[in-house]
Amino acid sequence: MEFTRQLLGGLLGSLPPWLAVASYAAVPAVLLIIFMALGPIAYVYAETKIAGFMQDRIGPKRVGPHGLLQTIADAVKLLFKEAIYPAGADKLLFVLAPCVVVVGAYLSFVVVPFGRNLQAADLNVGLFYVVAVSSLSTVGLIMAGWASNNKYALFGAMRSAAQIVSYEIPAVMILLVVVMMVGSLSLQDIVAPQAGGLQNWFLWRYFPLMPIAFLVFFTSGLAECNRAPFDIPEAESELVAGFHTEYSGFFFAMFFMAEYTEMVVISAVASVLFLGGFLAPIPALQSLGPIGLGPFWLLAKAWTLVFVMMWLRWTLPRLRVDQLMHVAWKVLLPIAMALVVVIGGLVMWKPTSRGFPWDRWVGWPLTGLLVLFLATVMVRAFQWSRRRAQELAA
Amino acid sequence: MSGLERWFTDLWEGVWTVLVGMKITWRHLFTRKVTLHYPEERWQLPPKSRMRLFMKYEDCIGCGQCVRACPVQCIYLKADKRAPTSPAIFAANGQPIKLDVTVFDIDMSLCCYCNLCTYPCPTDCIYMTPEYEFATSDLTQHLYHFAKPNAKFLTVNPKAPATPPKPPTPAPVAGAPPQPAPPGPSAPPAPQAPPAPQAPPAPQAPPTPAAPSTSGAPGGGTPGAAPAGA
Repeated sequence: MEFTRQLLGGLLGSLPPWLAVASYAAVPAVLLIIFMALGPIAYVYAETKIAGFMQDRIGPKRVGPHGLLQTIADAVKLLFKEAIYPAGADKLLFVLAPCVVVVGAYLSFVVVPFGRNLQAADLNVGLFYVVAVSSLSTVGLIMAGWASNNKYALFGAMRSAAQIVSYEIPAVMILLVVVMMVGSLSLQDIVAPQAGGLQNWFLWRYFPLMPIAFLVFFTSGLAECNRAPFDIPEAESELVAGFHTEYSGFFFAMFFMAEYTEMVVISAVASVLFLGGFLAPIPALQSLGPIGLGPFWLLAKAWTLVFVMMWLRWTLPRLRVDQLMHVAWKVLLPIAMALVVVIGGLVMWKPTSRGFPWDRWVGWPLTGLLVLFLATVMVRAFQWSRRRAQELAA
Repeated sequence: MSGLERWFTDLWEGVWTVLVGMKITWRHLFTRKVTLHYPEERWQLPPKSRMRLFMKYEDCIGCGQCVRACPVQCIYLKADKRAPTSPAIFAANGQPIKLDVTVFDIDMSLCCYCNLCTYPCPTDCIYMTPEYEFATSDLTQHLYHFAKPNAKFLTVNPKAPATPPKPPTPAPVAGAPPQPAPPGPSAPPAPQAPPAPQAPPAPQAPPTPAAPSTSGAPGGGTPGAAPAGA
C-alpha cells in the first residue's frame, strides 16, 4: 500500500481520506486477486508435470505446446459444469463455504511482503493476522461439510478440521520462536534482521535449532493446507473426497484454488520467517539497476518450497488418521515446545555479548552433542531393525 | 529400548526414510521417460510378433489344415476341385494347387492370435504379420476375405518375400468376380478361370483396366460375405 500511495499520492490527494485509502488499497488487491486466480493454473500444471516426471511419465502433452494449455482447458471445463445442489442442502452455506475458504487463503496475502514497500499492508500484528486468517478456511471447510447434507462430507470436514487445528499448534509455536527472536509481529521487521545475505537468514541461527524449527513449521504447514502426506481429508484414492464431495463445477474449482493458494501462502510465510523473504541470498543481487528484485526472490523461495511440497506429495504415502494425530501431538508439538523453551532461553543471552555472535555460534556445541546422540541412536536403531528383521524372518 | 530412545529413533528413522524417498523421486525426475507418444511414435514390434493374420492367396492349396488347427474357428475356407482341363499351377514351394479356393475368410475379431494356424500350412502361405493397427468402428470389418473373387484385404506382403508373389489371373476373370459374396451352399461359383501364366508381378495394382479383384471389392463384397462355414 505504501507503494501505491507513493504512486498515486498526487492523483488522489484531493479525495476524502477514506476514499483515498480505498483507492490505494484497490491496486494491490486487484493485483493479488489476479495473482491468486491465475496462479493455480500454473501450479496445477506444474503439479501434473512433476507428478508425471517423478513417475517416469511425461504428463500433459496434447493441449498446447507441452500441454501448457491443459489446466486452462480443465478450468474451462469446470466453469461450464453444472453446479449441483444436493437435496436438503443448506443452499446459502453451500455457496458461501467455498467463498470463505478462498477468502481465507487470499487474505493472508495482505501481509506477505514482496519488497521493502511492496506489501499490501504492513500490519504490526502481521503474523498473528496470518494465523487468524488462515484459520478461516477451517470454518469454510466445516461449512462445506455441514451444508452438503451428506454424512461423508461432514466426516471429511471433521477430519479436516481436526487435522488443521492440531497442526496449527506446532506451527504457531514456531511462529512464536521467530517472534521471540525478532521482538515484533510485523513481517517487515522479521525480514529486516535477515539482510546481508544467505548466512544471515534465520534458517541458520542457533544452528541446529532453527533448521529443526523450519522443518517443524514446514511439516505443519503441509498438513494445514491438506497436502500429502497429510491429505487424509481428501484422500482421493481411498476415501470419499471429504468436505468437497458434493461440490461440482466452479465451486469445486474454488476449493482447488484455495488449496493451491494456501500452499503458496504457507511457503511465502515460511520463506519470510526462515529464508529471508524478499531478500536476495547475495546482497548484490537484490536489485537489477533501478529494478528491485524483491518479488522475484520471494516468489523464487516460495515456489521452491511449493516444489518441495509437490515433491513430497509424489514421494510419501498417506498417513493414517491416528498416525496423523501422532505426528502432530507426539512429535511436532514436543519439538516445538522444546524449541520455544530453548530458543527463548538463548534469546535472553545477548546475541553479541563479549564481542561474539552467540546467536550464530552458540548452537555448535549443542550440534555436536546432538549429532553424537543421533549417531548412537542411529546405531541402536540399526541394531534394532536388524534384530526386528531377524525376528520377522524367524 | 527405553521410551525416549525409541521416540528419537522413530523420529530419526522417519526423517531419514523421507529423505531416502525424496532422493529416489528426485532421481526419477530426470530419468528417461517411458511414455510413447503413440500416434507420433510407434513401438517397433519384433519381427515375429503375432498380430494381424495374412494369407497369401497365390500359395494356398486349399488343404484346410489351418481351419482345423484354429481353436476358435475363425477361418472359413471353401475350395472346389479345379477343372481337370485347367493348366497346372503351383505354390511357391512347388506344391501343385489342385483346389480352387473360392472362400478364404478370417474373422480377426475372433482370432486369439495363437499362431496355431500357421504351423500346419504346407506352403507357409498363412502367417501373422506385425500389423496391429486395424481397429475399426464396425466389427464386421474385421472379417477379411482373402480369396480372390471377393478379396478385401490383399495388402502388400509385409514380410517382403524373396520372390515376387504371383498374382492370379488379372484380366480374364473380370467376368466372373462381380458376384460379390461367396456363394451359398447351393451355388458354387463359376470356377474361377485358371490363372494365366504368371505375368505381372505387382499384386495390388495390375495395370489392366478391368481389375475389380483387388482393392475395389471391399465395399461391395463385405456385407454379404457370410462366412458360410468351412
